[in-house]
Amino acid sequence: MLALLREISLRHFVRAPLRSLLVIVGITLGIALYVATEAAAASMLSAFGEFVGRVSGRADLTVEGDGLGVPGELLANVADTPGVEHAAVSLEVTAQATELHESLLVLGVDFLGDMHFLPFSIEEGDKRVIEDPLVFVNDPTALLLSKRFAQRHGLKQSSRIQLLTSDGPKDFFVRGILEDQGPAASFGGQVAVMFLDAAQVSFARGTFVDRIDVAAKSGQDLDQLRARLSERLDKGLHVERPDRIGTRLRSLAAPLHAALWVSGFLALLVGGFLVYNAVGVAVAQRRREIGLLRALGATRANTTWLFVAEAGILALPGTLAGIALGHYLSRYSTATTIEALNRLYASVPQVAPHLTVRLVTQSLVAGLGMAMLAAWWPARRGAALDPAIVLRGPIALEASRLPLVQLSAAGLGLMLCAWLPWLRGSKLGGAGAISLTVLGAALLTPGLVVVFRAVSVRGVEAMLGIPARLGLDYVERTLGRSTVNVLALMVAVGMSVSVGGWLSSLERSIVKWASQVGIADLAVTQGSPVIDRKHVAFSAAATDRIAKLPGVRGIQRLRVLDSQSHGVTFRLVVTDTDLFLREAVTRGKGWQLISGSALAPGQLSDRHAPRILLSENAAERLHARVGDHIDLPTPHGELRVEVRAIIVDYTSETGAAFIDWGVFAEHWGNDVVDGLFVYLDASAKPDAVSASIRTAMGGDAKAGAVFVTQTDAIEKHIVKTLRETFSYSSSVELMTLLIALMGVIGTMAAAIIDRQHEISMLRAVGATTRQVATAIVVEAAFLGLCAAIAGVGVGIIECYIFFNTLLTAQTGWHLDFVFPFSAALRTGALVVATSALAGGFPAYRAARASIVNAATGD
Amino acid sequence: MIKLSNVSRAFGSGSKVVPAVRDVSLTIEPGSFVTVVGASGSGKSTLLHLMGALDRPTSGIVEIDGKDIAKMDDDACTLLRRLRIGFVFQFFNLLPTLTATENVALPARLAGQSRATTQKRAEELLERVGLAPRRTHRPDELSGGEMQRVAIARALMMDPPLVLADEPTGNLDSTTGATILELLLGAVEAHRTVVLITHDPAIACKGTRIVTMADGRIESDRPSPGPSVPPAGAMGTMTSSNA
Ligand SMILES: Nc1ncnc2c1ncn2[C@@H]1O[C@H](COP(=O)(O)OP(=O)(O)OP(=O)(O)O)[C@@H](O)[C@H]1O
Ligand SMILES: [Mg+2]
Repeated sequence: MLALLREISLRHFVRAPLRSLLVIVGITLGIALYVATEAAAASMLSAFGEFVGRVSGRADLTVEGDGLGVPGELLANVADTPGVEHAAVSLEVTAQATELHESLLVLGVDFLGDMHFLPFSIEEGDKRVIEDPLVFVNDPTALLLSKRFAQRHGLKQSSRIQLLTSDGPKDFFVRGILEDQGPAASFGGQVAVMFLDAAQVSFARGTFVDRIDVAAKSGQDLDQLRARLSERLDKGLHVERPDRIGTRLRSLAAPLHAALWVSGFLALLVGGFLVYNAVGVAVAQRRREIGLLRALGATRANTTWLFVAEAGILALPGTLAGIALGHYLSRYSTATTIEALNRLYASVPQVAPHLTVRLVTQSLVAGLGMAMLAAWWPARRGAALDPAIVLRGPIALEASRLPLVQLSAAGLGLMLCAWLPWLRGSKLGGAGAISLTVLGAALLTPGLVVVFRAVSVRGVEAMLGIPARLGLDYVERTLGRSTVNVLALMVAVGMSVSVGGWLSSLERSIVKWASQVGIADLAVTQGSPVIDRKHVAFSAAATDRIAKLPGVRGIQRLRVLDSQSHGVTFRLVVTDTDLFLREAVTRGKGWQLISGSALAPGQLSDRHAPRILLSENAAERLHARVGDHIDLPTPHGELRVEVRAIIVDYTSETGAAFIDWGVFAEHWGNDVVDGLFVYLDASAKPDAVSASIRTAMGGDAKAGAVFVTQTDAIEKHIVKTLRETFSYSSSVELMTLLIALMGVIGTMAAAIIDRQHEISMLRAVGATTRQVATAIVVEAAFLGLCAAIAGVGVGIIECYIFFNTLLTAQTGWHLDFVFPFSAALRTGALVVATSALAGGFPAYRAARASIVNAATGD
Repeated sequence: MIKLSNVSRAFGSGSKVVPAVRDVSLTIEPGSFVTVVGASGSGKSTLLHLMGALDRPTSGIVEIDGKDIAKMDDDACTLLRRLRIGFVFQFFNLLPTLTATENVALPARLAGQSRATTQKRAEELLERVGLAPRRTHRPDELSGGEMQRVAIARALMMDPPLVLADEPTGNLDSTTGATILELLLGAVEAHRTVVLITHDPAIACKGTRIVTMADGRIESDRPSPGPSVPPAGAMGTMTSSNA
């Protein structure tokens, strides 16, 4: 067998360089994407590990709160609790070093308190910072920098560094460089340390901190201590083991992780598809050889093994190249993943991806395994050919007898099963329904291809002549092979159409909502154009400064934080409701009510009878109706509020509750502003006011500091962000399409080899090269057409199911379904056109080939 | 009709050159029935392909209807084949997805004629070869002999003055072979030029002229000795077992 491999296979590799290349490229692409996504997933996990390590540190228990955090004054209470050895507050802010364009983790440290959790060591500069902290404490512009960060930017003792604070960009001065150990080495070494009070002021945290870390006395039972602490603290605070943070984070980021996993798996699948195709071509090309080998005594297993081993041999360089390419790509995949984590879940550092031995081994196994598995099927089919028939040449129809009726019935059955009522309403059910639809469509495809052909064959023949008719005949003759291609293309089209439908529906709903709610002239934020984890809040003083600028008629403050009620987490949006309601009335816009009577100014701002609005999905998750009362945790106990109305709102997929600014200020005691809506005097010029806001915030020309957006731009911005969110899926879409098309080229190449004799005969009886090429191009275009029609159908069903089960189960939103006409038309046309083009290349080669070779029958 | 002047055709390149036809000169008169015989590998098929404008010579001149095919582009050669030449091969004559009628009509359909206009003539031709009841059958439902008869009907579809046949009876029994031959002789009677390659000496004798090939050259080129006299020589004994 080895001799066979050496003597036969090697020659084929050289004689068919294009096909060998196709196998290698298929594996390279598949493995590269696999490595890139796996590396991104791995770095996500290691970023989490880093975060958890940093957050939990040496603490046995942590005290955390919703929204604002934990009031710092509770520290004494915690420290006094029996069984507590150490207790210290912890404050972390991801600040932006505006001039350096870098993120920096700022730790607010109480140098006057318990330093148990923060073992800093000063390498250079004023060692008294630790020994005599008062020097440091009295200077609100002082900070300590980690050695790594300082060196990278050439910063030294007393160097200046600008950070974006809640009063705009401000200068700070380096008072010491920290040894890269312990907390200073976390966050990729991008760490600065400030005195706690200075950090609270600079980043508008009031007297709040993120957590109180607790170390128990030795021998203290942690569960007991936990219970004891919970009892002493307010209801809105949670005492937890630090490792729970990691668990929570991981579950939060589970969708991202799943998406990465699916992409990696898809990549492998796609690589396998290319190999399947290439080996299919090889088998077609070498039918005679197979027949001969079989006639001379090679068993089926021998012959199958020969092709499988060949694929394995080609897979080796492919896999190695894939690992190298993947390593290169993982830089980007990791960066975007970490960026997404930072924006959505937690402050984690950029970690450099590195190839682990495990990943390399995994990729090698996956690459070789996938190639050999993909080769096995066509190889087995080739080996199963009757040697006698093969050696006599392709005389009769190469019958591909699929049990069409049974397959179609099964497919239809599966697709109908997707509509069973018990699949509604849950995420798992929705995923099941989508899987059933795709699987059903897959089984239905061969029947569909046959029906489409039967329906269109006369028309096509009348319009494009007999060559086109022959093209359609070919599709049916090699139904198995045609179907695999249609399937691959169908998946690509389906994906594209369902994402398109989902995107256009979401876009329409959100834009409609935004135009109802975004009525102000300007929107102002800091650090990020939207209120996400990267934005920096405004202090009350900064807000006042903006309110007093000439041309500003009024400002609507906006605060967004997490809150919890009855075990359900949602967003609490705090805003000046009276101002908004008044401005909305004059414009004929405002919150769209789902239930509850019309709103008037004053109805939400009564401090003694607090009322809130709930978004549709929040109401659903809280099981709350208009008139119900719910309890909101405040830093000073729970506040009972009445649900005044339920509104259309897309602020958060977890739901949002709207509360008046005055009520919040009274009960929460906090006046930090996340963002501002500015209403202008009729005579004021938006551009001029924008400029004066920037100046007032000290954010001159420096980008990334203060963002002033005009209302019409907000809508555009939302649409842009939405599209960016989906850009990942559209690039996956494109990839799939590309690879499916490579499949079409492969199939057509195989088809042409199969039909060499026929093509020669056609040419002999008077078919021009154009006519031969037409037949092949029509065949490829027809594959594309079948895929486009089936894909659009499947995509729309997928999209519909997604809306009615998955999306509703996940977010509680009921969006209007918008039929993705343009996406369907665009992708459909694209697939047909590119399939035809993909057929064009092999068609050209076939038509140009010498006639004689085949006519002789050898 | 056909004129070959010092025609050679070699395959391959470098050290692996195979001269299939060497320096052949030959003229085929209109209306003649030429049979070509020779050992396997002697270059018969190659010669036929050159005469049918399926292939181009490495050197020398091939003229069909007085036109040098070297001076014609691919499309012109195709048109020539479509309109002036009918081919019958040993294998792979028919398209498996087309019915007998559709296969016969193929050259006309390729010439752009509609299904309706070609149908009648195709059916007439099928009737002439005795296959009227098999009109709507596909090749996998026909026997080898029936397939060859369909191929002959197709070769006559465009009413070409020249018919080239490469061992059309090669894998048929002698009775079926005789039927095929009858049909080709019918074509000769209709004043067509027929060139027929065969291994069967009895069939070779039906020709008005027998060309014997050996090693890429014409070994002999003589008028037929008459229908009943088999040609002498090793060839006869070697191939008679086929029949
Ligand atoms: N495409 C080709 N490439 C290389 N060599 C070829 C090719 N076609 C034919 N030959 C060689 O040319 C020579 C003549 O071949 P040809 O097919 O004309 O012989 P033939 O007389 O028709 O034989 P047979 O009676 O077996 O059909 C042979 O040696 C053959 O190997
Ligand atoms: Mg021959």
